[in-house]
Amino acid sequence: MNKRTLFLAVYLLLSFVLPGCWDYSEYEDMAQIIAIGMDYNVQTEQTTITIQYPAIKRGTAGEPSAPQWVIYSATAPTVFDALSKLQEIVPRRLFYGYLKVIIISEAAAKYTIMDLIDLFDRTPVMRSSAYVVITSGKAEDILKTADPSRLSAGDKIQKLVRHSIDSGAACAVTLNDFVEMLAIGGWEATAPRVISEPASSQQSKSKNTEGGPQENKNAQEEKPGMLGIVGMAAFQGDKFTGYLDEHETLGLNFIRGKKIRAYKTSEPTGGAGIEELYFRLLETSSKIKVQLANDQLVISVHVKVVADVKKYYRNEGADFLAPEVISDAEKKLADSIRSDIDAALIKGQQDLKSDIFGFGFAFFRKNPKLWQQEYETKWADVFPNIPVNVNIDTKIINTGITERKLFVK
Amino acid sequence: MLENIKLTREQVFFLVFISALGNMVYSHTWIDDETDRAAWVAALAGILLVIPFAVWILYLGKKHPGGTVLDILDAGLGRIPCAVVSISYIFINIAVAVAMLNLFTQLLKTFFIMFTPVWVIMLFLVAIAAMFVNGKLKAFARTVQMLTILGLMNYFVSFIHAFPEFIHLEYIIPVFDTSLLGFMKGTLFMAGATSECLLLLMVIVAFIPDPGKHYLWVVYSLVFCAVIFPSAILIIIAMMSPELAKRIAFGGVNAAKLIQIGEFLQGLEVFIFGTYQFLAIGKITICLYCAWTAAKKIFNNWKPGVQLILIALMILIPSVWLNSYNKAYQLAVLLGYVILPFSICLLLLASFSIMLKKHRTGSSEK
Repeated sequence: MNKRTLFLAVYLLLSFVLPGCWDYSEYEDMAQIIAIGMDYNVQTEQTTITIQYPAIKRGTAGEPSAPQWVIYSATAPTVFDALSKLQEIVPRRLFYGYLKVIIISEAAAKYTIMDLIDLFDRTPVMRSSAYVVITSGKAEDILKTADPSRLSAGDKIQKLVRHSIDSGAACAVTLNDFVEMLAIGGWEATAPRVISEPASSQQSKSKNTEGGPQENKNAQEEKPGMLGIVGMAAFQGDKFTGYLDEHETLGLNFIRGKKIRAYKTSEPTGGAGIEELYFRLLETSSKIKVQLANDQLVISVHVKVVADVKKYYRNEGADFLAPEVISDAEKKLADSIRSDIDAALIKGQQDLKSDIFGFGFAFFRKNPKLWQQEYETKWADVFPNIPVNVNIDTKIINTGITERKLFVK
Repeated sequence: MLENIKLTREQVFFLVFISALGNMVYSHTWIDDETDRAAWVAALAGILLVIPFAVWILYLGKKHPGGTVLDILDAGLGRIPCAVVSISYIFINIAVAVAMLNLFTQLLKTFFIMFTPVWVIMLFLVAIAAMFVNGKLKAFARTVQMLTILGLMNYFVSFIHAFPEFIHLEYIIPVFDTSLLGFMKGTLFMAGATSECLLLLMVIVAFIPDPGKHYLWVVYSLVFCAVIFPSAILIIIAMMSPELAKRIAFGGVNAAKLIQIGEFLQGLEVFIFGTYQFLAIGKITICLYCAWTAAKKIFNNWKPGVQLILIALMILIPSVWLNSYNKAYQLAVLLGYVILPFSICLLLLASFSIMLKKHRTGSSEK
């Protein structure tokens, strides 16, 4: 009897407590943010946060299509104030669970990026899988760009970053990757660079907006343009230092051993006409080795590339692609890759002076104690002067579906 | 009065396992600054260090069959010293439960239901624990047996999806990048954190058939724990880097947030949460059971139902009052330094008590 009474008491108590749901929220009441932009005005020291979320409207057949995406901006002295202001003007609860990209302007990347990163790093609802990109213009303008693909700016950038593996012109960096690079010693952060090119007919119409609430509700307010991912932005610590172009980015990706499935051309040769070989990269990997001889650090980068030939010379070279011809093509591919790597090394070591390659991290792994005791503090001074030996091992595994030249009658 | 039951090998195995994996699942990051990449090795060594103390308890059980360590103290030192030790034992168990209740509730609030009042979540958890305790140890041990297997499968099946994309070997190799002193500090702390299982063993030793003979049940359990828990730390480090892993508040739940399966499944934290839930309920129940058993001993089994409710309230009220992850974390860390010395003192007293009893029996026999 006592047990029954206890059970009944507990059951009644839980019945009162459990039906209440303090966290209940309607789907339509949430602004499901897919992209967030951060701008910083150095003169006014104000931060502008721009958000993009899908408009949820129940339409009927034949009704003119309503704008699909809503964009709001708010400007305030801090990121947190700007987000609070956004909540004052957005008629829905801001929800970050579907966040796909974080766009940070160059100025924000130089001065206030850590405010945003710290906020995102601590908030579980913000996905660590969201991509971080940097823009030399305003993040707000990027988000307002209406791309011909009819995708929202957030969706388009996410897809561009994801497919950057096919061009090697950038490398996907998620929020978690970015935080890791900020935290790990001897490895500086990078993030893809996003650009927006206004459509030629709209260039004169575009306005320079300075933040404040605005809603992209009709065709007049849209800014046709085209978004693209071109190269990478490099950091030193938590400060933006400069950009790498596509050529240098490809070199960076080779050094880091990132997967690249891009097309690659050999250096042009003169002959009956300027011609190049085309290759399709299939597998890429690298190993970074650190050697310490006579107190002199030497870095060795061994890059392995597997490719196939997509175009051979038309007016020169052998008719039949025999092994020795392939061997020559492999050398040409290696030379082409070497030029990318050299460009990246010059940019990283001499221009940016930022260890975006992770050589310091490789050194730490080779000799943790020496790194911690001696090199960690002076790495910024040591890194630009370290000689780097590059060894490229290329292998061409086939020449497509033909093995001879195409002779035109 | 103790229940007249005998636990099976599997029940002992899983009860010890789940009691060892208590607040440690949250507080292990405390040592990460000292141990860096070797955090998982320190955890492994720390857990193994507890084995001799666990075997010591079973040896005491052999000398006093069918009795808890508190019964041994009572028989040897008398009622008053036993009551004093029992009160300390009760408060330590309550503190462990308060820390666990807060840590888990804050996990729930941070990740999933941030606007739900803490007292609702805590009341629910304590009520479940009280029902388990009221339903006899044998039934609870069977439940633990099933839920631990389910929880571990859930945990590791979820983390299988991290391979190979989210696992970075460069984050775990080289393993030792720390000083010997730092490593030893870490190992000792982990031994202290694992020694929460000794508090349970002091009670359930009464229910282990022939404890001197079956000491391997407990040894295997701790070895299993020494494999499972460091593996979990190793996966987290390999996924996040040691630099980020040392900052995380909620262990595997934080790490599972990184796992993606295609476009639609972004973050498996909701699955890992299930394992943490089993662990929290199991641990709070164990603490409540241990404290209740000691209280019944002090009050000579007077109204055990009332005592159970009072102890449940003694866990619930300070937990609601504390209402802080960071304070609970500090409490868990403090307990990591307190429980092992307390347990050693208690075991020394119990050993002395047995010697005293033997001496008295020997004298009377003469």
